[in-house]
Amino acid sequence: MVQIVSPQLILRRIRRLLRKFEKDVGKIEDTIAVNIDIEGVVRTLSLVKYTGSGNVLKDKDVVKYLRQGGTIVGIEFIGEWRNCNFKFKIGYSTRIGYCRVSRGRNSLELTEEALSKLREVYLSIYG
Amino acid sequence: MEVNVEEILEKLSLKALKEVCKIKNIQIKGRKKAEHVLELSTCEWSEDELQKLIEILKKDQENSVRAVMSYLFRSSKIINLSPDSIKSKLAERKADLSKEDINGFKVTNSGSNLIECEYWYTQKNIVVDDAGKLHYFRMPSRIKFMINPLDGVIMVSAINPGLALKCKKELEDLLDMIVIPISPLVGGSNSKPAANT
Repeated sequence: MVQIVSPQLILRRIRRLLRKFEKDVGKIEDTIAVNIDIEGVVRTLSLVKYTGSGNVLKDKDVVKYLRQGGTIVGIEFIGEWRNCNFKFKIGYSTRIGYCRVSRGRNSLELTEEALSKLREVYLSIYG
Repeated sequence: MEVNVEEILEKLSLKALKEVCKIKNIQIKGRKKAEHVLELSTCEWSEDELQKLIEILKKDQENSVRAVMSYLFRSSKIINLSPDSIKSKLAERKADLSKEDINGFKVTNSGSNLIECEYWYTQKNIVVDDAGKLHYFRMPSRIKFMINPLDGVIMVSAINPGLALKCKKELEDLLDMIVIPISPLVGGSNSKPAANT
């Protein structure tokens, strides 16, 4: 049987992950999306009302869905690595956990470095 | 131009499939890629719609190479194996590029902490050229992954979760072990039902 970790624990870990990212990798410019699973249905709050500015964990729509029993299963943000902005994404489910970095106009080498940093942060929090 | 719609649909990401649904003006409630492929492959397609489908495939393939992804798994059994025994297991099912069925593994580098490997398989591929023409062919493909025997972490680099899970399954079969995703959603001593917010 699959055990589900409490949303509070996941929220705490997401806060830790974002803080650690800012400390070890670079500044987070913006949080652009968050996915929340409610009763087995994943909703992307960017498609609901979430505008992508401010603290995602304090956003009223995010809080509303979490109060309904939702669990954050993915977060996407613009972050800095070596003075370049990248779109970082982490996501997880009972089947998979992943880190993703979009290149934009940055080089593949720099993107792979950025992914490696994100992976380090991910493993230090969830590993 | 003869177009195999189902093959194209299978190549698309879920995001791209949702775009295709808009073209066909149909709504699919499920979130699974297979449900979208099944539903959309039963539709009739006009020439204009096929052109739009090919455009979506082209855009989707471009987008997929604009991102790099790592899927993270762990197996407690790996910690009990020595790096040499992991490598010899991988060598038991070595990829043979001279054969039509190349399915197998290849160790590319093994340092003190990490074993860098590849899983090779044959993939049916579709490429859209600049003129919008489709080309179908079978080609050897690989999924890169790294094993850290010290902490049992497996890091798979793949462009979609399906390929990462394919690699995970092959490893599970070869090493006779269970590999689990590293996520905060499974296990943990603080586990309790998600409804208690």
